[in-house]
Amino acid sequence: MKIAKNPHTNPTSIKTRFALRFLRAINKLSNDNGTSPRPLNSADRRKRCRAIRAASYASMASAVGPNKAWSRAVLRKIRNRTKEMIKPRTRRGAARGSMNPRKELGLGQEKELRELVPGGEAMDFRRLLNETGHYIQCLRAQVQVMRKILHYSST
Amino acid sequence: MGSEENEERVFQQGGVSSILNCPSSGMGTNSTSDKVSGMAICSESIFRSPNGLDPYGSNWDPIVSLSGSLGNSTMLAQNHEFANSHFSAVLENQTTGSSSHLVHFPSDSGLVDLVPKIPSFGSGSLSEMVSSFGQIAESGSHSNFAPKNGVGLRRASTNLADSQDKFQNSEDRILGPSPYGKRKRKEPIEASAQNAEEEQQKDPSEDTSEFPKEDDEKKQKSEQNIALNSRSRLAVKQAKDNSIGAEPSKDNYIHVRAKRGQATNSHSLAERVRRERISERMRLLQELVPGCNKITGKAMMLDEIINYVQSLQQQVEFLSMKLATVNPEPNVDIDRILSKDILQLRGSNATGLGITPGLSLSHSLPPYPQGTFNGAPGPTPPFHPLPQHLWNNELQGILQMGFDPDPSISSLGPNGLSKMEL
Repeated sequence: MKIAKNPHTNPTSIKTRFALRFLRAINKLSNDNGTSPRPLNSADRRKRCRAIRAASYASMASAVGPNKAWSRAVLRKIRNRTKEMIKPRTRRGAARGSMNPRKELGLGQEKELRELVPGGEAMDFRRLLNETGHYIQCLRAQVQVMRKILHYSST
Repeated sequence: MGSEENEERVFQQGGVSSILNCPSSGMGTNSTSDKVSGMAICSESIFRSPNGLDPYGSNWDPIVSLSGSLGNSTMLAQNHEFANSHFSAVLENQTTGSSSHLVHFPSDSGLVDLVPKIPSFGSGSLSEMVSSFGQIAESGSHSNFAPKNGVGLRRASTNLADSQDKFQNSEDRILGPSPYGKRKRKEPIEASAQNAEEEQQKDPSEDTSEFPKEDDEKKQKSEQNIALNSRSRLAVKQAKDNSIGAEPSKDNYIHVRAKRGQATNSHSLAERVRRERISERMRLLQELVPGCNKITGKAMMLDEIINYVQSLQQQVEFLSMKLATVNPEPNVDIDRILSKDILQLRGSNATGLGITPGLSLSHSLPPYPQGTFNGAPGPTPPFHPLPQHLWNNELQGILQMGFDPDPSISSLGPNGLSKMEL
């Protein structure tokens, strides 16, 4: 059964944890970039943008914890990516598709949903819906927190 | 009706011609005669199934009269679809229906599989069954079976009662062909529809050794997904396509599994439970996704969900891009978090203030660089006890800021404090 966790009434809410991690990551990023206040170079900005986006997903996933399949998938992806950057290795075969998830003939919508939700390839439809629900909640929280951070940093 | 008795005997003996000579119908072209014979013979062997019911009992009579036509099996298959609408119809139309039925089943040799289900119809609602047979015959005569495919035969006594529900949930029941429900249960991961069909084929191959050819052909055709001609199997995919896509194909015949024993009910129930769980989750998702209250239907709901997830991800990307251009000060973390927590409360009680014990707010807070909080010196009192007066000031300051375009926060309004239950 899906448990709808209300992040607002939870004192150690996901939003708080996410905000902490994300801010830490952003600070780390800006510190690592040196003292250049504004990356005017478009390539640098894009890189920074991507880094921030990855940081946001990673901090959300780590805030959620390993309880959810999608958060595990995100963390796994990020760890693999960093490892690959350090030491390029042959990518292990996509074992996800081999589990033959149950197909709902929704004209490809299920497949699309699986692609959207991280880690959604290798689970049955019911679980996919579960993960989607939680993922939507966390995505929403993520967007809200990021918006607030943006707001506060711009004022 | 003496003819009925004759047909009984004919059925038992596998004599085709007398069936074809059924006085009620002008049926029986030569092309169909073979099928009838095949069906009769095969049904004969199937009738010896271990069901333990006497297929030729007295209850059989009205059924046998209909079973003279090949359309019997399809009638059985379709009884659920039409049961709720045509019950009054059709005893009179049986004959004509059956005759035209034969025309529709030139290639349905596996219809015999349906016959053993007749015993299960047995005592209960015989009149219903008969009328449904007739009506199916009638409907079969002037429509293809495509839209109603995939309804597994169930025991009439229990199922005709449910037939209306099942008809309305035909989409649900499509997945519930019983014999391979067992397999589905064992597997923790639900097999794909293709696998289901393969299982489907395995089961009948075990059960009905009389139709090896059909099994092979069926395996070939199952990949094509629809129009399993001359199959008496339940086309799961086909049914789903028909129910969801609503695309009747002319080649769609009702294919029904040979039921074996009691398992069907429990398996169909399991399938039904599964569908209900999925629909329950869909409902929960409906609440999550804004603006989806009016949308009914899984396909459209999935569309909405996908769109929403995509839009959220795009928002994340957009915000991260904007954040990339902004360089926040390093020491802004804590007060940002603090303000965020305050902002996120939205009417939740004081316990939901979201201040984690980990947040070392007990030490003196730096004065807010933005200066938006009036009267919030705050550094000395630790925030764990959350002195109310301090919070009041800060909250007012925050609210006056017009901090966030988030619409949900607007619910706080000027009286947000009252809602905060501080």
